[in-house]
Amino acid sequence: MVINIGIVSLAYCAGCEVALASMERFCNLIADGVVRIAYSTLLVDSEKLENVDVLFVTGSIRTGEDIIAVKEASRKASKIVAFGSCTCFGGIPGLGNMIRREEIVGGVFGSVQPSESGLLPKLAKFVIPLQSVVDVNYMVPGCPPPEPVIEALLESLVHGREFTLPSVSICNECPLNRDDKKPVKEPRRRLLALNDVDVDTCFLKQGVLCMGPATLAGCRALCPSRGAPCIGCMGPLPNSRDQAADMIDALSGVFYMIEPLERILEAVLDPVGLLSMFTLPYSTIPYHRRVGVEEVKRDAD
Amino acid sequence: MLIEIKPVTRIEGHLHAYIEIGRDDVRVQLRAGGFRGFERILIGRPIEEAPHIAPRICGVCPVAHHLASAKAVDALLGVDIPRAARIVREIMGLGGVAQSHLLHLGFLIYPDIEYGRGSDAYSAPLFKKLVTLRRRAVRIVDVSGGRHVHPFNAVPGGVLKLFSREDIEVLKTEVEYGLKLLGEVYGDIVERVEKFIEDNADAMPCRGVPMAALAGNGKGIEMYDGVVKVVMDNTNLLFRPNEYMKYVVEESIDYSYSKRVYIDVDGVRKIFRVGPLPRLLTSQEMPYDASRKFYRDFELLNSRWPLHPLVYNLARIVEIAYCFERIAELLNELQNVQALPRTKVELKEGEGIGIVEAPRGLLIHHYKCNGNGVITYANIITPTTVNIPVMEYDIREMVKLLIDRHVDDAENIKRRILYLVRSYDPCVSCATHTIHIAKR
Repeated sequence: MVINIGIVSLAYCAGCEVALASMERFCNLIADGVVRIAYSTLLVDSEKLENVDVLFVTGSIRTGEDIIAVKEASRKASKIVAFGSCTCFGGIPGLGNMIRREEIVGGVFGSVQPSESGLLPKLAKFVIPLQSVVDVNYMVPGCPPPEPVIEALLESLVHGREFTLPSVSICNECPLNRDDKKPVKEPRRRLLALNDVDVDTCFLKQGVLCMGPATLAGCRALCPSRGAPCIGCMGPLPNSRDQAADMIDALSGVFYMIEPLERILEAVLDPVGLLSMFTLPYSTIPYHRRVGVEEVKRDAD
Repeated sequence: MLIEIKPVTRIEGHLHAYIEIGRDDVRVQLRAGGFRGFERILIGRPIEEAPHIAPRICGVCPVAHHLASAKAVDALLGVDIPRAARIVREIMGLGGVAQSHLLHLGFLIYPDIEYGRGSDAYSAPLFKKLVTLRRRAVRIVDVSGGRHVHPFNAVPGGVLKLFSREDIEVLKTEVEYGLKLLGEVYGDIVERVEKFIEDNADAMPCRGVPMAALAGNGKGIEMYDGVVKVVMDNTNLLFRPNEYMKYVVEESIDYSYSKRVYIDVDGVRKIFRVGPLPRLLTSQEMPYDASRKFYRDFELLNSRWPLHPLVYNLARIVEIAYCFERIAELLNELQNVQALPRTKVELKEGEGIGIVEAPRGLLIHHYKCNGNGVITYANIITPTTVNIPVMEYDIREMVKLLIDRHVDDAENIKRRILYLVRSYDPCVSCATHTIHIAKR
């Protein structure tokens, strides 16, 4: 039996699709006819989404039309996968929630505003996560989702097993973690830390912001194991509702000796951007959620 | 007659083609959607985060955005990166170009050149071989960039990690294997691409539009550094990256989230082309065996259909070979270079411009930051933004010719338009770096 999949891409970069298409397993499933891509404007010809077994949604919900598109698409699928952190949590485009939409468009285009021509979809007030619009079967976070997680997802789709995510943090799979975190005296901004940081030692221990403790495992600590602090792309742990709050919690465990507290803000210069780089629309800041969801109801129902 | 292609398929991003064929004229609009506002999102962020955030503009060419961004930050902080770091970055860039070209060849344009086979195309042995070949390029970016989609190894002042001894072994093996596989499929691919061009090139415009690419000192194609070379009619224009604002003008239009970009010389604005075709035609002789041999085939094809957009498809294949061969040379050079990953950086107020050759052509990142290292200004010009007006021009000329030749069947015209657009391999998420179209 062929598994038909559809990929609906919203405000996206195509990195999720590329990550999928770069998996040898996935390509083999297509070549062998086990999986058929029934719809994806990036990868195949079909202009309309037909009924599919599994619908992958990638990208952020950025316009009113994105909302209509996913609602319509969700009716044609038996299973819905929120694929990638943009879909799960809003992703980096979600940082746009700190800026008024008029300013986002005006800041890029000046006085000629394409959004006013009536030919193009207008920005919604806020970027919102997919699950605030439709019911999602599987959340597959990551920017892009890491190979072991995609592998597990494919395995579950092909063999009809449940797909599960880990429930622990990146630190649990990080080769740099020796479980010997001590209070740090000197918080260090990532830029300046580059001058003498040891990229083979726990970054937090060196006073450098690493999102590991507040970020879901699954990537086998890809960035830290290759010399970079985690920037949190896998999003929060299962029971969390706010990755930034979790990180502040974790930082209080290592930065508590630092005085005055302003020194922490010199190192973590842009707390909203750095602590919720991928998850601002999924945070507990109620305004985004309330206004965003109200807009969904008004515009799309 | 009105032809609307909604959406244009097998390209990256959200693009609608709108073609109005009137009695005397043909009106063409390529409407790019998918605006996300990256230039605005970057403002207020720490300068060192730009190379993390910028790749998210595009998952097909994240390496190019990562490198252009890192180069802009280096320039802004006034640092020269160590030679070893530069080599690691260049290898990452070359791997990125090869993997993107192979995505185009193996997925986006593939069913067009395998025609006759339709949806059966994926069961053809060539598809599996292309997947295996592309995997080599993906591995190269994994090793040099940390991860192939959204790499992170380039940082202000250099790279986080240089190659370990095992890394170098892996890279050498991948390059060798890649060239071997490319040699095996080359004949099959060229045969298909030539037939594709032969069958579809007749009614296409071949007029010269100015073209631009990076130019270095050495032989071959310059992907990472150098000056910008613009070739127009009979004159050449050379300018340094930090002079781009003098010659490159952007203009917002009301029907698309992609701006129009012109080259401006003495007040005369012209649209121009970038990408593999201009890169090959402005480059010096290929210094390596495989790419030199492939380049001859390319020259032959280009002499039959000079500057034809469909010839982009063969140009990409020459570049794939060049990327692998250049990586092999850089790996050799690395043995004699001091193993220093980064130059020291310090905070300063400044302005920086970084230009690289992305898979689709010139990519410009331009930032300003305050004394605290916070971004206050960001401008990004992507190759697809540059190419979209040329595509519109090409479509208009082609449709006029087709109508003159009494080809007025909408399906046929539509197919030709798709072939033309796909040959440019547009990356619309880059062009709008910024939202999205799903308008019905």
